[in-house]
Amino acid sequence: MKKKILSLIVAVSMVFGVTGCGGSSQTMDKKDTGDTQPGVTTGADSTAEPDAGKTVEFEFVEVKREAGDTYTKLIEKFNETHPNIKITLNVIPDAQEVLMTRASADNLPDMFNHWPTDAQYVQFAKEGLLLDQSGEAYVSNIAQNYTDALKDTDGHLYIVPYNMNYMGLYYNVDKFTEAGFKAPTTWSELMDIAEQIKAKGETAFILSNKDAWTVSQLWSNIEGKDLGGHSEIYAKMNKGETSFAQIPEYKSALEKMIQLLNYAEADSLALGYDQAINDFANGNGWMFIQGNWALPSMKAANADFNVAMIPMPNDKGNMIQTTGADSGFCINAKAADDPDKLAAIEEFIGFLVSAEGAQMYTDMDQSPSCVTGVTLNVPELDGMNKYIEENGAVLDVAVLPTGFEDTKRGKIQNVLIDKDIDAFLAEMSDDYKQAVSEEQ
Amino acid sequence: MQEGKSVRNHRKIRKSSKVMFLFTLPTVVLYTTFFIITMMVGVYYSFTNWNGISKKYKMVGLKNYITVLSDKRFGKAMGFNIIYTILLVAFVVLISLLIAMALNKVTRLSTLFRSVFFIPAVISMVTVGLIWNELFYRAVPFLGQLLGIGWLQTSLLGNPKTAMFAILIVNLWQGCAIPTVLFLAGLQSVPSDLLESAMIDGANSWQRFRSVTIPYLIPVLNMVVITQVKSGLTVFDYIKVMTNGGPGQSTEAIGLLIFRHAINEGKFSRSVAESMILFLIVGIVSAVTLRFTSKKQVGE
Repeated sequence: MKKKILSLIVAVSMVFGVTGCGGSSQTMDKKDTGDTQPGVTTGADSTAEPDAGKTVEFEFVEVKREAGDTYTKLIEKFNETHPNIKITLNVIPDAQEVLMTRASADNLPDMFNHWPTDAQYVQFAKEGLLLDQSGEAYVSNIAQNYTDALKDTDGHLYIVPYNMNYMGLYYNVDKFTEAGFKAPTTWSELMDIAEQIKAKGETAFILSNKDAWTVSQLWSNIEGKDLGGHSEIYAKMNKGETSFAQIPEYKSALEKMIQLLNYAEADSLALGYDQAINDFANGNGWMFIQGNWALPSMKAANADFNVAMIPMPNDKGNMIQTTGADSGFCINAKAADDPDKLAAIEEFIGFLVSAEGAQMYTDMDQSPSCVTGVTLNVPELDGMNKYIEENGAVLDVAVLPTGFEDTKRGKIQNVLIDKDIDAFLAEMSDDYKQAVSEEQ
Repeated sequence: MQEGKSVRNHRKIRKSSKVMFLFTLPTVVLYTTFFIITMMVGVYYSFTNWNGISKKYKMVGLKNYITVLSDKRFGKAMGFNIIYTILLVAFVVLISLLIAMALNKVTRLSTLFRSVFFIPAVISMVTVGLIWNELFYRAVPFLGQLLGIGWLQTSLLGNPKTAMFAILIVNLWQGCAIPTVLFLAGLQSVPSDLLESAMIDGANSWQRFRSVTIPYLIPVLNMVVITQVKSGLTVFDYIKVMTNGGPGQSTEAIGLLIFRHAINEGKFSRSVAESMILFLIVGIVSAVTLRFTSKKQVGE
């Protein structure tokens, strides 16, 4: 008997010993990669009976890194009136990677948010993994220019846009006031200020160049002020009529990025986004070039931080401010198989885009809403909003070909290192062509 | 009588081999399901143009392999892995052997010292990344300024020429712990009478180390080299948490390239082909190492 027990123990320990080693396997398989994400509980297996008193469960994967707490509070509020709907909120870093793995394993979450301009979202929509929401009543709460811009050619709406974003220039108001600087409106004014800050021996710009995505956005932020929206440009590029190398604004924006390095911390390629936010919010630099989504994190790092945002200046001071659709809501196409679950998800999205829910979200996320009738009370963004009111804004929801943005991010830091702009633009033009040809 | 005994013995053997077979069963089943079968599925996908999520895909033959082998980015990543692996193996063996020998001599507070050297191994990778990102950005340059060393005054992670070494340093900091323990165990298996008799025969300490200690360490060395070669060729997590391949693809190892192609760039089948090639390389290198070192073992 003792022997049997012993052998059982040995056998069991062997099983665990073997599975423990499985993690180092490099084979990428369709089946065994998706289900094992830590911290992911899949609601997909729970079946809900059509019974009024029964709890319906679904999973909501939240991809916007800054918004985890906000959604926790929204779900709490929602549950006050809907105690029978249990939402499993999963906030995961690198969520896009998790989503891709889960999509490969045919195990997408019931509901998730995503960015409408992200190639991954477009791919999901194309492959039929998402549910068309164009017929839902709650869509009418959203400003129509947003829903129109995001519908595909057949009128399907696979993502319900929730809030908008824009990129600009943050400056430390206290430092600017003390030094007697005015918010710059042209590139030369900006360089003037930067020069004076440099003369004081301080850092004018905090650049988080270690995270390639911020470098890529910096490029768009500067070039976008001259080029505006990108739909036409990408359409031409897709046909091979133009390229990155042929459009001078792309080049001049890169030249400006290199110019900025003179006034940034010596080691910008070693500074990550989170570290940069902390540094800026705690007064270690004068300006920070980022999107409105960074504001809540700055306030979290320093609640008393006195900061303001303005459009990133261009040469003539006639900036075209673009706005983008930030995250929006997607429903797994398979949710339609379970009417109770689908009804619960729709109920939840209906709450999120209601006047009450959207106002709550906007107050906490501090970003302008796509929901009509919601007011934004964020004094830090007043400068930017005033500019948009006076000059208008261009909605830019153009999408790059699949994989191109990641290729670009992989290479863009090289410009800051070897400063060879022409070589980089030529490479980008080729990579774009290749991405287009691989998509077909 | 004799016959009956042999039949009983025979039965006993058959029974015990059945039990033995049962012992191997869990491993056989798991190995087959999670390795052999998945590997076969992987091989299959590497001959398709599957993008990771589409329901439809078609066979493209060897196209993925041809693309991968002619891809400059893959070649560059391979070069990174080879240099990284050579440095990793050399330094892990050297450093952990030195630490193990020192710890072997320590008699007072030996448990304390042993655990101090083992602590890095139990910290999670994300924490390691956070700690070292800060150290490289804030502490190391400060040290460089104090000591007046030019190349240390900016972060090692921010320079494409030094980023690999920064990753290597962190990998060594964490990766030497287990080899040290293994070497320590190996050192303790060296019979002291052999060392003593060598000493009486007039062998100096280097001769004693080379001719007595090393042969006893060969099995451990063997294992350390193979595991480190494998971890060098498949390095992923250190890079992911510290540079994510940057600055500008300078630390893009094959593991990261496979991940990027699959997850970010929608080239799933190509990434499977890449991992098959990597698998082959790791297999060949391990086999060669095994053959090379197993000849030098004690008693052979």
